[in-house]
Amino acid sequence: MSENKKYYIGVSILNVYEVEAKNKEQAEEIVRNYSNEELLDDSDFNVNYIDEIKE
Amino acid sequence: MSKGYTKQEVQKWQQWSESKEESVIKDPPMVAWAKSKEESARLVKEGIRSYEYELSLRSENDQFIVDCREDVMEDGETISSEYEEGYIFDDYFEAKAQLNKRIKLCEEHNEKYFVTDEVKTLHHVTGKEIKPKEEPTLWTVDLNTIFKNILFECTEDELEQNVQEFVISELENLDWTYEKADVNVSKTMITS
Repeated sequence: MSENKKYYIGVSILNVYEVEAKNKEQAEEIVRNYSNEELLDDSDFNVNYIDEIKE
Repeated sequence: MSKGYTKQEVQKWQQWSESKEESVIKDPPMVAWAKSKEESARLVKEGIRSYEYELSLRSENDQFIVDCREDVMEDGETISSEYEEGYIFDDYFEAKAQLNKRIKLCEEHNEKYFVTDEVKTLHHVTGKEIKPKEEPTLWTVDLNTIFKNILFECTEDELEQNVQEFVISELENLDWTYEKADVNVSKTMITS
């Protein structure tokens, strides 16, 4: 059985939404009110780095 | 051969017919309305009665309402007031056009009127410009969520599962900061 180690990890989620709105503020508000599923749907999920901490 | 009618029979029908005509003439609401109109026209002509109009434009729940109150005046006193049906618009400038139409009508009839444009007054006080109604357009909103230096203590095999669980739990308690681009709206969340 492998032993526990410590890692620093960087993650990014990128997504683009097209919304119909009267102005920027309303467009922002619409996306802000999306559920987690809507936010993550078709998103570009990346683990940017995994740094193992050597002690 | 036609049946002949007696003088009494004809008289009876005439009386019946006249009584019907009277009942039409005596139709209370119509007669009262006609009489009141006639009476009103006479009083206006004689200069005893006049009409004044309170025209207002106000805003409520992103809508613009044009109201018109008709005051009947006699000897400088208001004897009755009545509201005409209000007009509701989504756009200030459409409401303003309706208000101007009503003003023109008062001017054509030489009627006294008072105008209150609450929207214009409010914008004048706050120094803001009244904008025309914005039609919905298509916007692109970028979401850029970055988690930096998240510390995990686990085996290598558990790492992937733990990262997934962490991201899902974080998304449930989002703490957004916003950065706006010129063309698109960009949202960035940074967790350090």
